[in-house]
Amino acid sequence: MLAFRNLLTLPHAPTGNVIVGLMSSPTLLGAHSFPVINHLTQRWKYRARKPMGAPRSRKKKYFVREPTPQIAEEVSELHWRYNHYRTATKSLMKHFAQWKMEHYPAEMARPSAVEKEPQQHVRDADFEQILQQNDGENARVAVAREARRMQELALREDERLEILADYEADQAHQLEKREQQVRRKKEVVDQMVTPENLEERIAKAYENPVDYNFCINLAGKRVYGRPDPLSRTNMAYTVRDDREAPPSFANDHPQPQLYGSREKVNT
Amino acid sequence: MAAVVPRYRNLIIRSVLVGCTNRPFYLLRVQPRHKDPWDEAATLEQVGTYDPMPNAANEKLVALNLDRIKYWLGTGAKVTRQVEQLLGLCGFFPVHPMSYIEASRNRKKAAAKAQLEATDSSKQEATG
Repeated sequence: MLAFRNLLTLPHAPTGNVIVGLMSSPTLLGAHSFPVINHLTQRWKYRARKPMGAPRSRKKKYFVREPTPQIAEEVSELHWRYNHYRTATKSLMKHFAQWKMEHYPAEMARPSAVEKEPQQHVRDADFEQILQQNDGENARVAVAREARRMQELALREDERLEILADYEADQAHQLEKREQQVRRKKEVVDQMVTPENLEERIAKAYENPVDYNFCINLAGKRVYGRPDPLSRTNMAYTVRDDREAPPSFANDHPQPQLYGSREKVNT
Repeated sequence: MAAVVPRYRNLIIRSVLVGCTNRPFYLLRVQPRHKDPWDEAATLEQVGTYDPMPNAANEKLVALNLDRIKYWLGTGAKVTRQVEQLLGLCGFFPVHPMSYIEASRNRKKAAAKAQLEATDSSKQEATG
């Protein structure tokens, strides 16, 4: 049921007795400071908010709203009802505007609406002359400005050419850099692994295992600590050296061959 | 000399939800459309209230200042749909189309419920 009351004065209607009291909740009594807000799941208007980048909550992650059902009967009924409603409301609004015109004439009158007309007229009479003055001044300033601009350009000609040359040199340098990169790539194309030579490369790698677990002695030679680099079981301490020494050391300080050549061990 | 009256554009009469948790209450306010509804400084006038919770006599109380509403409508204020429905039920506006639709839906729902209860009671009689 809907009860209706017309207030002639400005209404401050009673909002009902809403009793707000402090309740002794565990959160109040405990270690929490009031209010306790889970910022990651709560998104309240005009209250605590989620941070800007926070994701949708787990419960609402895959929520899809069911579209409001469009019942054909209701839609057609709404159509004609809205047409009637709009017409009625439009005339009502006109009525209210008329009512206001009658009851508040001072507010509806446009102040100085009548006085504006002659002012506009007087301004129009002067306007042509002012425009002409303005155009003449613009032309005079344009000539002077163009002359000044040409002068400035001539003064800065060398500077501009220098900048241009720098730019071109930079471009050439960049081009050379790129071409060098391409050349280097082209050189190593033969060494690359492709689907065609994949099997061959794998077989080669199996035949020639490489052990990087070595030391370098004073002569600069590599000293290997394990007989078989791929075996983790046989850790017998056998020091061997099967590599060529670096040319500079080998020539200056020739060393006697201390260790036997490296042998391939079948695992 | 005519009185200087500020000319407002995009005025709207809308219901603003105030109140607190589990206790809705609406104020009908005249405001520029783009302003914050809860901003009292942006409110030109409060023209009514609406209490959507039924009281002890099962009434939802509405208070409207119809003279002022008329004034603002004459100024060119628009009305939100909720307020349109409210004014329609009061008889100040023509009844809003959506009010008819909602009423018909409620009637259908009530009829369906009554039918369900009737079948239930007949079943109980048959078994008992």
